[in-house]
Amino acid sequence: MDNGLFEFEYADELDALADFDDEPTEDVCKPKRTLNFTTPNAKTQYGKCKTGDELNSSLLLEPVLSPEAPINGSLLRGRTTGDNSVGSGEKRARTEDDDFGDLPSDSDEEFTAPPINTRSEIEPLSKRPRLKENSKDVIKISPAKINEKTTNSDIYDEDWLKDDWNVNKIISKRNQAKTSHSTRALDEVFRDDKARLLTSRPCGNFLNITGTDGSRFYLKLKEEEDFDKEIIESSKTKNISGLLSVPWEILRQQVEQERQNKIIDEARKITEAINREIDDDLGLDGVDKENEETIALSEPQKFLWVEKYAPCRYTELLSEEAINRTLLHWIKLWDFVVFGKELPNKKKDKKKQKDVKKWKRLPELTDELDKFNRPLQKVVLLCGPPGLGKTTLAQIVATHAGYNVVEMNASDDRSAEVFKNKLEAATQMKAVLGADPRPNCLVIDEIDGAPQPAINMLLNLIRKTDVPPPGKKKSDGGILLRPIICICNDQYVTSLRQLRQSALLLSFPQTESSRLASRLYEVIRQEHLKADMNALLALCERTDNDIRSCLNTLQFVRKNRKELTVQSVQGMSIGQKDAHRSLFSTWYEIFTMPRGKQNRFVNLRDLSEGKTTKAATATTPSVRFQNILLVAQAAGEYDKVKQGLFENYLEAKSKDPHLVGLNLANEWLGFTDMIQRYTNHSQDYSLMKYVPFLPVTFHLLYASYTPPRIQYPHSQFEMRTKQTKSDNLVGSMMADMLPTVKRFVNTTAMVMDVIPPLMDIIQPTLRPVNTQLYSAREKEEMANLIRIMIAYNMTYHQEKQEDGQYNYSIEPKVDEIIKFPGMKQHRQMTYAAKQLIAREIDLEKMRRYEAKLTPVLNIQVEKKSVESKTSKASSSSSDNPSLPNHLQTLQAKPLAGDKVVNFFGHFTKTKREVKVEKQQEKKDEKKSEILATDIWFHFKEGFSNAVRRNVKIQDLL
Amino acid sequence: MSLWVDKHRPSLLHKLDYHKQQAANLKKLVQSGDLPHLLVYGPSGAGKKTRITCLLRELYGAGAEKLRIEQSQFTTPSNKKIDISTIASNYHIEVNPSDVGNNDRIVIQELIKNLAQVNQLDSSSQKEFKVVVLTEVDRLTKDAQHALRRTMEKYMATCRLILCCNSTSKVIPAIRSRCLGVRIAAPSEDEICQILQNVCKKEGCNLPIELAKRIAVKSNRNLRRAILMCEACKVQQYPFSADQNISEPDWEIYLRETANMIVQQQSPKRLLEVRARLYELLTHCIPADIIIKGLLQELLANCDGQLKTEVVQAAAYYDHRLMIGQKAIYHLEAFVAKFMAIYKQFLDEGMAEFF
Repeated sequence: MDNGLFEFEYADELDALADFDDEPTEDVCKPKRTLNFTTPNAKTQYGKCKTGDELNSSLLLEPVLSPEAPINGSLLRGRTTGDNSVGSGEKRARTEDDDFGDLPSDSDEEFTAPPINTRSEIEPLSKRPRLKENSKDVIKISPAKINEKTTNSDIYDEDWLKDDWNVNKIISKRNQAKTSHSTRALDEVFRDDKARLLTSRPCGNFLNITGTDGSRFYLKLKEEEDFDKEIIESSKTKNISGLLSVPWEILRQQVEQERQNKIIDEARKITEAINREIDDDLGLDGVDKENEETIALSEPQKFLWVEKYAPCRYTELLSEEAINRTLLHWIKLWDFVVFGKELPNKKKDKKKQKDVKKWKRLPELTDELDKFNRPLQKVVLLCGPPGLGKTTLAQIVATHAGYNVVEMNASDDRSAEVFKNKLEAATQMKAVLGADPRPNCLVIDEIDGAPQPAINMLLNLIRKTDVPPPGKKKSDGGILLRPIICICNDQYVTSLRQLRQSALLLSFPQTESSRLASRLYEVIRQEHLKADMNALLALCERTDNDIRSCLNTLQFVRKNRKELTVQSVQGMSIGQKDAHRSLFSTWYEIFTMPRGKQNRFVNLRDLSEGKTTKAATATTPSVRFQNILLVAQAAGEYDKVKQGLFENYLEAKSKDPHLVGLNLANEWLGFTDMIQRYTNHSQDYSLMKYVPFLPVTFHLLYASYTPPRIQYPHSQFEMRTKQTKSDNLVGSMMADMLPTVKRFVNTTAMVMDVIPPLMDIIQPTLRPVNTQLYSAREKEEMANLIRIMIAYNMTYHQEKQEDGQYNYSIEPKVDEIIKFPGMKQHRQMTYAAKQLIAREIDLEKMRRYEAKLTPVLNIQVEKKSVESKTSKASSSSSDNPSLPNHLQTLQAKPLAGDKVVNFFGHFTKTKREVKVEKQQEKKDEKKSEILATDIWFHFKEGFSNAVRRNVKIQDLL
Repeated sequence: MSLWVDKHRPSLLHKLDYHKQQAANLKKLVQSGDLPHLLVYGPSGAGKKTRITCLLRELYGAGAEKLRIEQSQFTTPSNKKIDISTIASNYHIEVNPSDVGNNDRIVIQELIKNLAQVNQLDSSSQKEFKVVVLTEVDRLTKDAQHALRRTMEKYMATCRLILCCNSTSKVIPAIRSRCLGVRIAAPSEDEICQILQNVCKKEGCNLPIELAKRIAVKSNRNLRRAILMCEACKVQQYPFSADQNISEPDWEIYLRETANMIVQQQSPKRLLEVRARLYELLTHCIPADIIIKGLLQELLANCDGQLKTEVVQAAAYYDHRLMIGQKAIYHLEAFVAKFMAIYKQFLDEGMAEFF
């Protein structure tokens, strides 16, 4: 059993060495051979060559080679019981070799008994004090002992070989020694002792040893302290539980496992080979399932298949040939600038003409170069849905054209500053130190997510046309001299709007299903996944020909199963994605009746009902229902979709003589509108899920083979802005209306009832003459008009019109609110009349303002006059009891003297009077008096503004 | 001020021209010294506001007519500032909370609290409560109305509410039950004629009775409109003639034309044209319910008797949807489409019978 075990353990080595082994001595005794292999060559010779020289030299080497010792030990251990029966000489010798190392550690008697008679040279050593630990002694002695042993190996062979007792004893001792750790320490020392066996005489203490052939060696002796130290150290550092760092049971297990793996590997290889043959022969049938299962479980997957099977050459690209070629052609146009190569002119032109004819969809790429010999379009914008290989294409084409691809994507920081630095680094500079001297080609991936400033930076670089003058500080870098490829998913992103104009736009079409499927087929054959072409096609359809999605799905399937069927593709939830479509395509889809194309991979419902056999076409209502529902749900933006439907459905052709469909559609619109209101109001989105059914209804009602030309819905937005404008107009009018008027009206009443007649009322027929000439009635009418306009916060405002003429318009322009298109024009007043009214309104407002500022004064004046009258009548100057105290003000005493009427007809005081007063009154009083008069004069030497007079606005009005 | 509407507006309860019994009742109510919360409702132009001002005048005397406009500012919990202008005298405050849209709740809570937490100092010489007049209560959000109901009870000691609205159907029952409802019906056409002639007499001009009647009919029993129309007529042509042109608001004409378009032809294409006109009306601040009502009136004129119930039912249905929906245009168009379908079917049947 043990032998078998050995075989097991060393099967590897067995195999490996079988190649080197020239000798035909492969006999039955495998353990022997094993031993031969595991121990160094010296040992193989050891048994075979009995000649003294060889033997000695080899044996002498043994301690030196002792790094192997632990291994040997372990090997021997495993063999111990088996050895008893095998009595071959070399084995015995070997055993004893090792045993000698072990023996002394066990007991002194053992140690001394046999070897002592042969050893004379060791005497000094054995005389050393025995008080120390056994192990120490052993260690000290061992080097010598080994030498001694080697010298006497012949003797051993002869004397001890047949001594069974001895052998048994040794073996039993060895078994005891299994647990002893001293041997390990011993091994360590052996290793250390390499340096101590010298051929020349060393300094310090030494022993000289003479070999059987007379050669002399010197063994350097260590100090005792050193030994102690070493032992302590070694006992510290080493794991002392056994000979091995890893328990041999575990080692055995490992080896066993390794062997098992190897067997499994082999088995797999064989089955693979078989499978492939079978596949080739019988299609994909008849493979042993069990085998496959094991493969699936054991195979490690390190790479994503997407990476593993990414094309690495131009010819392997899956995308449409035309796109590839256009891009390549464009990048080749840069050759002149970048590489200084002349472009092949005429020939290429012709070829391209043909291309253009072939691929009409593609934007025309002109071969023309600008004044810096760059292509006219400096940037290519690759756009298309995810998973079509845009990035791959860009990288491969750039590499193909001899560029070093510098990629920048959304994972990088793309703030304007960083973007600029990177842009410059990529386009203006070149790796100097790197092994790759190729010029850079910048690939900006996912540019639709980049911030606007960053894109502007790119635009500036593109549009820069002249090299800055040499004197100028070259802070903003030079012109663009390297190709840039931008990649985006949505080319209609706002930030890309300008870039689109100056870029060569290449939009990726869908990869052809058949082409993709055939590539997938190659992949799954290499990955040993079973699938037929139909399943692959179904998969392609499910993923919208997204290469990445397909491969990922396949890899996922491969992980768990070994077969891909149409059914499993149908049932898979992976690969189904909410492809973000533009609103226009959503609307288009809704209004378009699907063509009768075979489309049996979408009908989920039929599947669940088990009607797989019935190939449903895309034109059956249920499929259409499902499709449109998916489209609507994927589109999101329900409100916008709905608006688009609302604004376009009346243009759609449909047979609806009784307008039943029309009503149904409107019913749905109203229903979703209510849902929307509810959702917005209560923030409860549970009803939201019913909204996507609106597009379905519209599809079923209005889908046709010739869909209407879809207009972007903006009427609601326009309406809202207009309405806000109107609201604001009315609001501004209402804001400053007199409160006595304002309290009786609200906005609605204003718009509906008040303003329309008001517009007539404020435009009476006025005689086009000077207001001075108006009759009293006309004046009263005019005043009334002014009052109305002020009450309703209206006035006329001069405005310059488009034709350059000035006109007065009502401010705020409420006339716009009541005006409807197609209605008869309202009578307009003349320019002069409006001007007159505007002026009058201003004057009236000023008067009122004035009155508001000095209401107290006016009251005072009135009261004063009343008072004076009453006082005159009653001839009493005492205070009026009717007037509350706080309202009374101190009155200046009426001045004596005649009132003199001045030139303006106002009462005034003459200078003489002032003079007289001056004499009478005190100085401060006098000053206030002067200021209180209407006209005063203040003389300043050298400067005079002559006579001053206070004039109030109300005097002028 | 000097529009006839404003100039000849009665300011005393006993000078009101119609619903005199009601005016007398109100006067008795005021003279009793206290006042319940009032809910004044009635169609536009029936004189609700006039009656309220008369009531206030009766309560507080001439001081209630000294008005000022005040701008108040409130802060929502989300720190949004709302401005609203109020009309106030020393004794009362008038506010239209629906001016601030969805934040009306805050306005109601804060405004009434501010006002009601201040007691009148001299309660012996004047009323111990102030009055808050809330206009357009039917446009208040539900939140605001619920906020109102507790406030109404809590501050009963210091303030009274007079709510003013066109229809009580949009006022929650909780509020309705807390108020004394005062319905101001629109004046009859005769009453309008009488008032118009009174006004003209005061203005010193002679209004022929025929013209007055025509105006009364055109005004749709809306007194405000009637007086304004009358004045507009006067501005356009004086001395009056019995058959002179009475100018109508543009939007009414426009609406009528729209209705005619619907009757003329029933097709999706026509619906598209109608939609454009509906948009036009909406942008001119004409409320959607007025549009649907106006359309219905015009359409009914063109309908056979048996269709009328069906059309009215449809109108009611879509009017309701208008209230619970968000965007008016969908429901207006739905109504038009519905009418088209009904009308077309009727026409087709008529044709079939004819042949």
